[in-house]
Amino acid sequence: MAADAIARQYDVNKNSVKLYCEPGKGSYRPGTITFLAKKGASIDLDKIRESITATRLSGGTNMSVDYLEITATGTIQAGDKEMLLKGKDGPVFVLSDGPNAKDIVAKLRAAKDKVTSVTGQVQGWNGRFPVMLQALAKTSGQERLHLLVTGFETRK
Amino acid sequence: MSKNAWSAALVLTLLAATSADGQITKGVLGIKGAEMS
Repeated sequence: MAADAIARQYDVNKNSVKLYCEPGKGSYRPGTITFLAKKGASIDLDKIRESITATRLSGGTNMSVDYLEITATGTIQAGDKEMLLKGKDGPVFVLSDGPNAKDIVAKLRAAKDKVTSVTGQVQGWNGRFPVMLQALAKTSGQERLHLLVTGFETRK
Repeated sequence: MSKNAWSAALVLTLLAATSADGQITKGVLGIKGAEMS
């Protein structure tokens, strides 16, 4: 397994990275890569884009991204027209209802003082790798990113 | 490069892409063309 080899070679906790590929025989089966930030650290989306661009995934491949779903902490700011998630640093997320999550932003607004984290899909992270990477490069460094919310956690 | 190696490279880049003072704690990348055996 690639994850085992990576864990041995780079002394990381192999349980922090989970690879899943749907069973079957097709060459382009769906799969997911789940990853966690190191303790006290955050995942930098621009660095992910830059790192992937440096691999052959920026060239001739039909491998594609369906979505990038992230979980982010921060403070909810509820305005008249939009809901924002702001952290200490990094981008501000403009929140809107995600796929199969109708009215979730309204629920988020109602619970905003108790929200501890928001999960959602980052807009722009889909499509064939080379095309997606080129499009993301044009918008890198943006301070506002759109997050299609799929869930959130609250403190009790 | 095989798709397996591409997948491994992708994981490595994700691991390398952490930095301090941010807010994103977890990510799930949904892909097509996984072949990660």
